[in-house]
Amino acid sequence: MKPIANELTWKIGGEAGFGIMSTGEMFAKTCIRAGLYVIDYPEYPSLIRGGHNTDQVTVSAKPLWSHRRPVNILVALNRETIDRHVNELTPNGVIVYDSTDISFTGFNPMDVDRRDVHIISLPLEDLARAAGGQKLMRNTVALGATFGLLRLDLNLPRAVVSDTFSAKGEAIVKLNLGVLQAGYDAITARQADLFPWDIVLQKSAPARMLVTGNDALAIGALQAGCQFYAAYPMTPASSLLHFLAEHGPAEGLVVRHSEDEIAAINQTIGAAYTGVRAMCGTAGGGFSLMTEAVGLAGMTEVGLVIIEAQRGGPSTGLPTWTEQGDLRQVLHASQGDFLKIVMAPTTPTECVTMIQQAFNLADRYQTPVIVMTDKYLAEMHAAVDLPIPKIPIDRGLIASASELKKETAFRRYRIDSTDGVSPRTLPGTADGLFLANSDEHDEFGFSNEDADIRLGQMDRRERKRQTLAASLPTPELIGPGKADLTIVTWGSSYGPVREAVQQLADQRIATCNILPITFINPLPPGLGERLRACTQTIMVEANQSGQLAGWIKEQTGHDFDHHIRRYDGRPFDPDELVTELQAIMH
Amino acid sequence: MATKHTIRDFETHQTPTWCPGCGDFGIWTALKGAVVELGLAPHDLVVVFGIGCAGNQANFVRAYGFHGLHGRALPVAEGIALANHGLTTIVVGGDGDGYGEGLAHFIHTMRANPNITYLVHDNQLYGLTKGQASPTSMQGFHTSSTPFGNPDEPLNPLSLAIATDCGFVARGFAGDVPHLQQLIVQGIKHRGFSFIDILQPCVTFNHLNTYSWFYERIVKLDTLQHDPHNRLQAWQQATSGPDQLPIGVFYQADKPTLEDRFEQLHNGPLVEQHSSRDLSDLLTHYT
Ligand SMILES: Cc1ncc(C[n+]2csc(CCOP(=O)(O)OP(=O)(O)O)c2C)c(N)n1
Ligand code: SF4
Repeated sequence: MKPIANELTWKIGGEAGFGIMSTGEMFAKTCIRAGLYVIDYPEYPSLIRGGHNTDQVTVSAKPLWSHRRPVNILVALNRETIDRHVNELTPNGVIVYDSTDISFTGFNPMDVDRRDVHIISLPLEDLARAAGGQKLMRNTVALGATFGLLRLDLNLPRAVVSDTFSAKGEAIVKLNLGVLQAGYDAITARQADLFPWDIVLQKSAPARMLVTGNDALAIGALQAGCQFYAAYPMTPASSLLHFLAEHGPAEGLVVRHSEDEIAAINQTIGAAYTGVRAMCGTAGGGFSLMTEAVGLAGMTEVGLVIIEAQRGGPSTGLPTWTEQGDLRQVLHASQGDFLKIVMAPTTPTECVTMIQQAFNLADRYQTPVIVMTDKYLAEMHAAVDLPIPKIPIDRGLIASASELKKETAFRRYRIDSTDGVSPRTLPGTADGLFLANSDEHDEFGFSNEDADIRLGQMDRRERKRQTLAASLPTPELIGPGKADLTIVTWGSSYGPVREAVQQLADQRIATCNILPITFINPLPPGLGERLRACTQTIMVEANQSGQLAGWIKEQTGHDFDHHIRRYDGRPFDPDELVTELQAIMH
Repeated sequence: MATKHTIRDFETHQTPTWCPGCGDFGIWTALKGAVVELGLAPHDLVVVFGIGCAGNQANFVRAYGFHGLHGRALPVAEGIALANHGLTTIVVGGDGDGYGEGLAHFIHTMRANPNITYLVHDNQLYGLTKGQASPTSMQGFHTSSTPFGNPDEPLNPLSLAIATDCGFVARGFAGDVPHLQQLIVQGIKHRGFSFIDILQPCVTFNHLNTYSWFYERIVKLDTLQHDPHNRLQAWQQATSGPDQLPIGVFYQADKPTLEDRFEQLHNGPLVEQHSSRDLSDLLTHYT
């Protein structure tokens, strides 16, 4: 065995169209099957061909919360990969580059300004061709070489490669297996010896799956009984549409690729009004188009789930990069006052459960529920334990036939409801007729502008917020109860914060605890008291203006002592956070 | 057979708020007549309304009603049709609503072909917001938003629908209720998207396209030996104006509906299907 087992980061880079992402996925899947935790982080520009793409996979035997920046193996399919990422390599790290790629013409490894890393030249394309393959399979050669360096028996990678290509037929599987082996064999024993990291099978690890945040939302939605999904493609929400379009039909789900986001949300409202669980999803720009209909759902009290996957704004912004800059637009979406439930899961694992909760809340409170993610969370692959948690389905209040019989006309919007929620009926139910009305309305749904009815309906709808807020769990601190610093964060930023806090604790630098805000509207009860009881508080969020910090200040009066904000499109980096947090505490 | 329903069963206790003499009354009457003639029960009928004088009918029709956003009734109705194709779904809107704010939905819903009947109260202006020009206002027409005359050419919704290969394209007239009622009956019976543009005098704001203006121009397609299965003839009749305004079914073609194209709907409406799932097979793809 080598000195460092099961703790490493592998990165592959090249031009878009080189198959970077699928290779990263095969590497990650192999590690999952070896019983390890993984998180991958893909980076790519908004282009189909050309442009620099990378995928970076961090592997650990212990639970992982985010990717790590220091790289141990860098696979360079072109020269640009070395130029851009050589400084991310740790001492003793390895660069494997494709000497057959045209970009390496005239390249001299001695010119690379790192004497502490090993540089391995492999003719990836030639090796692929010699094994009967073609240029496109260079990445599979590189994958084989990777496992050669890691001294992992090829059985696991072979199975992953077989599964990945099985749909393309046996011949393609065989070719890829041969190419994988060629890469593996190209690594000499000496090269493998010089590289201190390896992967060792964990025998007793539980079963896990490798999914993105978007996959996890889709899986959770299917588990929750979602039967309708409508969307218009927009990065980083598109892969949610792709997942559901592919797997939905077999699960009895209807998927619409609508003409625009306005249609998508209105179709979703129509489906939800009819009685099925329905969802739509988009990014910030598409959500802007949906806003009028968010209010329609609030006014007609149709419960639905909306996914808002953030990317860098404003406008088209940074289509393929991450940010948490849409919170204010979500909180304030649509004119007038009404309850919008806003939730933000932190990890793919939490995506699976939180989306199930979101559907229950949509039905229970008959109002739009917006689940916010971002590019980092939506597109990272991570290990999620199996079996997935199943939250019991709660469809909320639906008037029974005997209740309906008692009334001469059904009062869909009863002002006397103490908790604010009034039972609904599904179209088709005898004796349950009502009008779902975007105009202010009386108890039956008929348009009505009388002041007392207006107040009665507004105040009843507001009571739903109060009921929900009182029912939410008080926020839980992660880590020790007493700490030098309490870090508040949300969404995907939680992962890097958690890694950083772990490092601070491991290195005995400082004791920190974390308060992730997963319910953003309404905020959990007692949040202000909780924060005021902390020694010092800091908000870490990925936007320029401190959107969540401002919202918490407005809602609780709490002022954060410090802020760390990032809005360059990149997720927080745990190492950088450690440095920044240390600076703040001294 | 269930109890036969009457016109009264499709009326609420709300008094219509339209101006006396408004064409909307005729359309309302024809709609109620059509659903009674078809033997529908109020609870099996869903009517989705846009925003405008036309959409205000939401308060007067007793059924499952959905009074949505200006221009956005069609996508709501498509969602309803997909979630429960056992219901009869009708959409009611105005020309501003459907040909202005919601035009994209009109075109794309025709392409999708869900089993919906779409009634457009075409009064050639915006009634509820007090008489501004609409996409079907005639060029030169003076309104509060076009005081020096409307600069734009009017949209022809019928030729648009025929060009888009909509499976049922018709025009009715609010001043001829029995004829309109028959069109609505045919539209509801047609499987797929049925589009009926309804010439509707607005007595308060439109002093150009009045009842008498229409009476001078309207002819019934039945009297013109028109073959509604001939798309070319349909196009010719749809573009024959402005001095002759044919009413009736311009074009009809049978084709699969949107609902037909989803295999998961072949065993019955989505809303009646069991949605508890065992995902273990699916999840093995990801291990
Ligand atoms: C998004 C939006 N824009 C504008 C309006 C205001 N508005 C209400 S009805 C209407 C026009 C109605 O005209 P039309 O659809 O032709 O119906 P009519 O009143 O003539 O029956 C407008 C512009 C609105 N309700 N929503
Ligand atoms: S304004 Fe015109 S369309 Fe509206 S109700 Fe009056 S007459 Fe009818």
